Amino acid sequence: MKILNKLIRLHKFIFSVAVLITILSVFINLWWNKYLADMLDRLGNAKAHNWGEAGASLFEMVMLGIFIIVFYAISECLSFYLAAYTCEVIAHEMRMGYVRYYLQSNIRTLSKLNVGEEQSAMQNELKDISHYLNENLFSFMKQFVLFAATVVFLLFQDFKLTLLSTLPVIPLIIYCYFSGKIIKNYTEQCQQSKKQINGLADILLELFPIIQVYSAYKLIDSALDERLFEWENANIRKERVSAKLMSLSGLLSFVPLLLLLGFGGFMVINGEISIGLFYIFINLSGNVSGFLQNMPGIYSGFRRFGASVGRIEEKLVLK
Amino acid sequence: MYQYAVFLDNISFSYESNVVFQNLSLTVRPGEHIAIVGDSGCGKSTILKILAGLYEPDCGRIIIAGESLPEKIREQVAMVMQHNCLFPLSIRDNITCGHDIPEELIWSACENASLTKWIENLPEGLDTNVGERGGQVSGGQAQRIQIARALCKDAPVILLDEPVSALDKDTKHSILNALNKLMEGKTVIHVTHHPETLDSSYTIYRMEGGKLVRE
Repeated sequence: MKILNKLIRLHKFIFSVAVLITILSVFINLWWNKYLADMLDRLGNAKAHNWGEAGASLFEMVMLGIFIIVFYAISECLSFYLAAYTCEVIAHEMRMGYVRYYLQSNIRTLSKLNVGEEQSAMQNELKDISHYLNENLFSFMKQFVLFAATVVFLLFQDFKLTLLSTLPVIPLIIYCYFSGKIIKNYTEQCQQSKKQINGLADILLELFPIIQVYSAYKLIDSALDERLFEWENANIRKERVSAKLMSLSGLLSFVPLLLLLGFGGFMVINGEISIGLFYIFINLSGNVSGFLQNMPGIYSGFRRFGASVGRIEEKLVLK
Repeated sequence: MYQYAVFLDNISFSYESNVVFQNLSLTVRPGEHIAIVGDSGCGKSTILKILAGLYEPDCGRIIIAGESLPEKIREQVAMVMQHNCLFPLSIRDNITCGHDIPEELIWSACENASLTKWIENLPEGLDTNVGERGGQVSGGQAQRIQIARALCKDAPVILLDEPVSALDKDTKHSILNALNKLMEGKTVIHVTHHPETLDSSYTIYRMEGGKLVRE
């Protein structure tokens, strides 16, 4: 993954701006939630005490609400635009790095390359990496920042309830880490099988005269069948293992929400926390559990990305 | 029995508008060895492909070992190419090309191609995979495997396309020895840039301006 670091360093200004705007958008999101909780508590208090006094401060609250919504909309718009732009710049740099490798290689190195495999790398790995960068890089980063910021924010709201809803997450993270490693191995096997099919298809074109003169049709047919069978099996194994590992982690990720509902509801009844604060926990638990629910997918996606980068890393010449 | 192993009668060939040769004729008697020399791009390899039944001439008559249909012509020839023309499969598959060939015949071909010692020292023997583009074997071994493949086919006409040009001096010498065994009693058409690798058994033709001129 050194190559990703290098690509980011090459475009650090635009990348940093995009990250900062993404973080800003996350903080505004938390601010909005805090605002809603305050609003809920004020409405509750106004109902219990005096509507008239509450009316003036409610007007200010509504104005503040509008300001937060506009501010949030602007930051989200900027965040999306900059994220897409940065990812495209990075993906373009990577594609050009691949081209630079061919241009700088001597004819002896180039003549030893297998055209089928190189095409496979161009068509599959580069496409996968560009797709991952465009679709996931900032989205996952945002989810992670949202997760981390939400946990810190909730800790400041109520330490005990936050621990209760987030501690069960630790074993889940460990599980995700190891399951991701397993998925990566299966993904690499799949890519290797695909590479072999493409390599054989390319060689067939080159050896076509030999195939004709020696009537080697059956041999090639069975060799291709064998490789297709290996690829099919590798794909089935990968999907089967991914489905098993990911479905279990998805199930486990509901545990924190159940604990939050049980203990949080009990604390509201006992008057330990306000309904507004409980609302914050319920509303923001999605940021924590959602991230965790997606974590196996995020992690396996990241592993796949890592495997794709690993395959072409040595053939990227960056400025 | 046929009078000529190779009989080309006024054949013409062109790649779309680019004429390679016109009205070219050649006759080779059974057991005769001929070499075609000439500059790059003069059409030597194209003649070889026509002789192998891979290309059909635009016009003219072609008869190889008594056969004139391309699929029948291909049965009468064996080829050894310049480049590493190996399938990314085992040595056995590369020699037999998937045909049922008795084990003793395979080993006899390996012996004549000077492959036996090397194969016997390999952990998987004949089942050793040669890798993508023969990457797991040296250039010399790859050529020997091609020779063993041609020996197993036992075709009456042998077509050689620069079989030793990519090899170093020592390897070239041992490959030429193996080729001599392949060529025994066969009709040979040898296309090369390097006439110095040919022995006195060859009748040499030079390809010039789309014509074959005997030297």
